[in-house]
Amino acid sequence: MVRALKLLALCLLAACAGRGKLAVDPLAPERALFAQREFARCAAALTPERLAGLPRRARADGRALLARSLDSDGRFDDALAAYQYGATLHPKNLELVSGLAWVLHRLGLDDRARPLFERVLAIHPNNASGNLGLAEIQRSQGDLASAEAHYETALTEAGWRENPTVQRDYAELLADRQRFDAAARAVEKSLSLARTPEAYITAARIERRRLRVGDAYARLGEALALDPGREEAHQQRALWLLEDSRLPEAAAEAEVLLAKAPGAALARWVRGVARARQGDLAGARADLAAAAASRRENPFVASAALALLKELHDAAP
Amino acid sequence: MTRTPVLTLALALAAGPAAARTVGPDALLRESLFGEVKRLPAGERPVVGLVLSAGAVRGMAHVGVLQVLEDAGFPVDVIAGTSMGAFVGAFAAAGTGAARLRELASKVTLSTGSDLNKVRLISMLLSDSLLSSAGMEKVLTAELGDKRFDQLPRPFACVAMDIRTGEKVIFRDGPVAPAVRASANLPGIFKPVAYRHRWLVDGGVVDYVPVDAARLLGAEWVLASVTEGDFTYTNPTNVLLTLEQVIDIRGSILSRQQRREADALIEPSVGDVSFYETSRIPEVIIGGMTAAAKGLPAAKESLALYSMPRLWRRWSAR
Repeated sequence: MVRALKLLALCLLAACAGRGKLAVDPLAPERALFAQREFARCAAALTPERLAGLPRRARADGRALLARSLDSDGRFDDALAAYQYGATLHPKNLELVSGLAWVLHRLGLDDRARPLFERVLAIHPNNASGNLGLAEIQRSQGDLASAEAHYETALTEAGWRENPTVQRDYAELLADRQRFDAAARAVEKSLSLARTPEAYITAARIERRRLRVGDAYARLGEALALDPGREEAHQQRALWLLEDSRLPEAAAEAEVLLAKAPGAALARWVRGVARARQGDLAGARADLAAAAASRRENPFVASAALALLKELHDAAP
Repeated sequence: MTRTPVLTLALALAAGPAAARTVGPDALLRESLFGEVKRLPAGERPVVGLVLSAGAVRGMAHVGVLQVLEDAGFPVDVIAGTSMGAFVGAFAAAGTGAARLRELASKVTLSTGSDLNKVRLISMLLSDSLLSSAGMEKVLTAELGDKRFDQLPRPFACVAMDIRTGEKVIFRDGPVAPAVRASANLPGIFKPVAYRHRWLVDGGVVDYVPVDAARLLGAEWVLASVTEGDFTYTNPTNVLLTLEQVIDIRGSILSRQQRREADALIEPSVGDVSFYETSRIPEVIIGGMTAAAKGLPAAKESLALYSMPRLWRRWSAR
């Protein structure tokens, strides 16, 4: 019995030693370069000869590291090619397939990215990156219920749960699903991770949709406190003031934008409508005509201005 | 930390959704005006009609379209449909939510609502006799009950064709189920439906995109979901495919004209789906959702522009 136990202990020790030997990372030098953000050098180091010389198990990791280095270095075409080649050689490697899917998604090729994310989830249903990618695609394709389910799986992983952008996107999705209280909680989580103007603007829109008008203006104010020049926040505030019939304030908000860009079409629209509703039809026509001239940059603002001009044409001078 | 989480984190940082999205002036004004249009009191807001085209299995894309419209809170006051559009439209007009519709659609097979199956198809060809679509009435009644048109929460119309006279017949009253069955009664496969002294087949051969039916219901602004077939895709080699091809060509010719009568269009990319490919329904529904998500901004803009005279009247009255 004692002999048998000694033998077992010996075997275990041998196994641990073997494992220790395997745990040596053959890609350690390249990973160090990547960690130092030396992406070009990392990519250059991973030559075809170097990749071919790697132990078999490390080759897929090597190809994934090469593709990521190229991607991080801004060589998107090369990165795409590297991911495609890698995913062809190693079709079950989650990093390569998922990486390829993300690159395709970023390029707007969602029809090609979607089956790759689905392949990732077929291999590993709880893979956070695959769930997040699919959630983003489904959201853009209008399948909000499925997107919500995938976001929730992705957010079970700490890395994504603590990512303020993902939390903000999730909040926007929940708001689109008319689940405003949950959306408010998600955007608060995003703000607790990073107080960005984008997150404050999202929070403002959610408050507005919850009919908490005062809170919505307050949140926009916080976005502008962080970034006083943020056009989107000024534009949004101007439109809300107009919707709320706070006409002088809407015109004043438009003036802020026009001081920076006198031709700003949306600001012209806001001031034009405010003037028209206050009886200044001549002033309104001038503003709306300027907005209507921005057909190339802002086709809808221009069309709306034209349509309103037509109405004003029949109104008293 | 093991190697895999490090790589996952690096991948997340490299490829994750890091870019901040900003909303441009067009989108901001679109949402603002669309919101104002929705808030117009009843009677002031234009009556919005939703038109669901014919298209057999392709018409299941309307389910995806309805899902996106529902999520976006897009107002739909009246619904008109032909064939599969009538089938889906009847449920929507009855108040069946998009989620329930998706659930129902997931159970649809070749023989749902009819005695159509592969064996029957062969016997049909051998014995030169048509099949029955009577089951379709049962499917509708099981879900909606014996509803009449005037009992539906939203006004609804569907279109069939009298095969003796070639007349277009628009149903707006009486029991819903037989009218919808007649509207979706594929000629050449199912026996014509004898109803109201008429001999009725699928309305897709006379009114593929029934904008006119929606206008009859009072629609002032019309959004049409069109699930046209791409007849250049197939090379018919048998009786059924040839029949399908002829119906698709006829539908496309009608659709080219009728789609112009709508104010906004949603066109799911489902042209390559054949009449009988029920196994592709999930993909078809996603196609509907994708097209609707893509077409929604333009639809909102079109409705806002159409409503401008009413918005101005409202603004100037305040």
